[in-house]
Amino acid sequence: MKFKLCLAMILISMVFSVNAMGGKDKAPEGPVTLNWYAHAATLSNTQSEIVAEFNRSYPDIRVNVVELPEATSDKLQALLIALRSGDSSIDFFNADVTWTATFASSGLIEPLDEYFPVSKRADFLPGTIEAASYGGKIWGIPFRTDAGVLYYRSDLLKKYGKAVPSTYDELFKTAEEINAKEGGGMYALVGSLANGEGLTCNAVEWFYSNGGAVIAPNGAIVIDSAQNAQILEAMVSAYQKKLMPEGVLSYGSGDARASMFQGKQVFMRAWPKAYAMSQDPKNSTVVGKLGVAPLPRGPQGRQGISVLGGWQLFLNKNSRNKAAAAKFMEFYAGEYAQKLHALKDTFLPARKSLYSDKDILSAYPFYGMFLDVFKTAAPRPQSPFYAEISGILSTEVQNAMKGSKTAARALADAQAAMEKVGR
Amino acid sequence: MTKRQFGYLLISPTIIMFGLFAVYPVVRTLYLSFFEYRLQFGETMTFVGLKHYVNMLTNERFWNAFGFTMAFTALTVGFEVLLGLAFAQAMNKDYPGRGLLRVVVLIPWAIPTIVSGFMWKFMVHDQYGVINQMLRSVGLIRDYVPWLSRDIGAKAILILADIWKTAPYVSLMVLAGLQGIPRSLLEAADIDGAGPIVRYFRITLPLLKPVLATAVLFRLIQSFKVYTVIVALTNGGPGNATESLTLYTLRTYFDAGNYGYGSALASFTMIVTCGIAVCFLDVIRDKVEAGRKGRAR
Amino acid sequence: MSRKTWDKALFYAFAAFFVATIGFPFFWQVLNSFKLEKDIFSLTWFPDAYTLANYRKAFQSRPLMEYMGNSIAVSVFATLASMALGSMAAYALARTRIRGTGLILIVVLSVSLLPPVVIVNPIYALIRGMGLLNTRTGLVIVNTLFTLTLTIWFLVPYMHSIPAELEEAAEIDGAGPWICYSRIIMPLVAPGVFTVGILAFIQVWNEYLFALVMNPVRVKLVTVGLKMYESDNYIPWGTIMAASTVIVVPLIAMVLALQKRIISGLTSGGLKE
Repeated sequence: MKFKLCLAMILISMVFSVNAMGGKDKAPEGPVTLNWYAHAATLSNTQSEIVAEFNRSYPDIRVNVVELPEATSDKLQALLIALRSGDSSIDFFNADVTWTATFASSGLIEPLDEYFPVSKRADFLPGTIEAASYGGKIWGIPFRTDAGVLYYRSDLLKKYGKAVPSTYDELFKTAEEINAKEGGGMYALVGSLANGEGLTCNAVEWFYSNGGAVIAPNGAIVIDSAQNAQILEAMVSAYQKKLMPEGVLSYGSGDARASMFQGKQVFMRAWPKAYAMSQDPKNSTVVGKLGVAPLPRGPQGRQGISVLGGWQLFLNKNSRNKAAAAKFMEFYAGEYAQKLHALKDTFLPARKSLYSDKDILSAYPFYGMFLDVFKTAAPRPQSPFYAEISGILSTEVQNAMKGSKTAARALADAQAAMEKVGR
Repeated sequence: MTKRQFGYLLISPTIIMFGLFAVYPVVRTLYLSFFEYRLQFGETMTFVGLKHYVNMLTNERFWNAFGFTMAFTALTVGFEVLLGLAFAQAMNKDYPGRGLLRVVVLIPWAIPTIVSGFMWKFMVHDQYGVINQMLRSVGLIRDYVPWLSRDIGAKAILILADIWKTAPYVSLMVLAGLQGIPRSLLEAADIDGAGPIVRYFRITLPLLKPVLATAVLFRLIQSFKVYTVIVALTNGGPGNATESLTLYTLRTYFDAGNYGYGSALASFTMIVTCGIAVCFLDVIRDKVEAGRKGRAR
Repeated sequence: MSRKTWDKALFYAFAAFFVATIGFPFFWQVLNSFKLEKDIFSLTWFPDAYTLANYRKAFQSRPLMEYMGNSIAVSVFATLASMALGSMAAYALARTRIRGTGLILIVVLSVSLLPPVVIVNPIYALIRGMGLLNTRTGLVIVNTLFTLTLTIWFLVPYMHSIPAELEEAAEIDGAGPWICYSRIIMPLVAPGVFTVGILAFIQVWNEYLFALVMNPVRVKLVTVGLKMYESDNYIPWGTIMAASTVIVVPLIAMVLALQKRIISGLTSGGLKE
């Protein structure tokens, strides 16, 4: 039996050695190392600069940045799977504003009331705190907010004496005129309309800006409304008249930006962070030619309404270094870190005071308008089943855009499907 | 220890492995499909009977995913068999250079599906895709086409990518079948005055039937579980035009955290797979018999 | 021209078309992995300048070495485990007259036909229960399962094909079953075990679904890692093509070196994707 025995030994040792390589969790002793699951580093690498600054005051807390996949839905999937496994190697992580209900209701994260009491929340924008709260507790510390804005070609609008449009009708007319005068080849509007969260944001903004809604305050599904149908029809017809690039239904936010940066667009709906990128001559041919404005409104809307985006930090329930993690989380949501991100990456701070910060305003004058934008900006529908709601919404909107259903039919189908979610 | 006891000893790890990681999970999936079991409700389970199945059968998204998966399966396997037959016929010639053909055939087979998906995504890109460039230079299209933004385009590209990856492999299997046909049979028919076409349909094809049946069975089932190539190329879009059953199920499990409904979808996939297998009972019986008796294949 | 000449011309015309269509996507991937970004975007087929920058970026912007290491570890260990268990099972099924071979073979065949999505959720829970989620071991176990069906199906006929007299002679000389298995049968089927090992290795290397579901953040295999290059800003096609080439090269090298064995393996089993 020698051979068999050897074989068995080899197999067993294999299993154990492979397991050891997979990385066992270390017990905290002496200096703590935190694992922070975060966005991929930006070009300016602001994250590591902030970690370095943090270490000046806390030399014993090391922060190891682990990159998450880029797409928001891939981040969500990866984190849900990992946290469900009881993985304690993730200490804290970047979380989208729409995730609070899902993570909190499934008991995967730690409430933060102890570390982030009401007294520390005064400077934060109300929308960011609302998005971090669920069931009477607070689950996230906001470090960045976001709101959809309209980018326009300031050079072209000036050249032809046009004002920044305040309605979608105006927007398409202005763009058509400019396109004709510029000799064609330009599109009116672009956004991240690939099936996914980006499209949900765009579509929800269309609805809200035309007086519509998706979920009413009492929890009823109200997506199938005349207002929503009207604005969706307008977008469908704009797409079919080629006022948007033909490939836009597979564009992520990067593709949309590329189209703008290559000078093929008059207008673009995007997040503020695109501004910093647009001013990098390596990627962009429109340096110094872009303006940023609030979104236009639909025919029945009183004003353009942006959806609130943004990111917060969640604390893993199974983390073994909660106190240390909370220290860094607080630091990362502090003024120093948020200001640095604003200056280097044009991230929007979650702190009110930074919108009157001189350094930020002198670098990016358009930050001044955001406090007004935030007064009306609205969250996306809040639900523990958000991923499903959003999936239904973006899929049905795409069905309408590509013409396989009428706008009204798509909204009716979305209504029916959403009513079944969670039941 | 008798030889038979020794046999049980040797087979036991395999039995444990299959019992734990295949039989139990199958039963568990069927079981869970009758329960409400969601991430958002913690780890609690409530019996709901056939609710998930009723929901599934009245859900447009399910029918869309099922319809697409069926169409994808039928078209890919159909084309792969036709092309496989043609390629194999060509590779069966004794001209110098056929060795190269056989190596080239292995390239798509060896390349990971996810990699081949990226290759195709790059080649069909609406702005810098080489396929658009080629089609335009021969005058077939005027403007670059955003293939993946259109229903038909996205479906066609997925099917094409799958055929590219798999038809060469089918042709290898057919080639093995061709080489098993005794030359004397074909020569005898030649003497009887049968032309090449008659010979092909009367002798070659019937003799290839067992090989083809096996290939079709496995290809049908593999095609039906299509997932990876979709993730790389379209991620189910545009809309949900290219969402396959597997993709829908995985999204239900891991994005929505809906394990009960996901289990119903998975069980449905298994039922269809069993249905396909039942259509090929002869093949399966032959395989199992060959395994038991050691009959030459 | 004679029929023979026509036939030959047709063959070479076909062969040229075949090699071109099959080989082109791979060729295009490798070619573009050496191009500057501007040449990729302008669709210049053969630019004046080539670069290795994409390869540098492939390794620097994401931990590609780590992905490769994970994939190599998982593929090697799963393949070895599958070869060991598969040859043991095949010997038992073909040569020891155990009861229930028919049933076991049906189970093996069913598992090889089973869509992974049917069992992914319970397997996730099982592996989690064993504390092996996010480890290479978890992936080794799952991949051993899926390649085990392949090795068993491949090796059972192989075992049958060895004449019974060899073992009988040894038994008369007093050899026990272990000696028969390890000294007589195993050396004879070693080439078959090796062949099926290659097929198993390629299958594990290419697996995506379980690699994604079981190890989303910590142990990334190459197939999952490749998806990490896509970024919100843009898709770095040059870098992705370079990373793809790095991922594929070991496989292509294996295929070229071992093509005879691979072809014989593929055509005899008919159980492999």
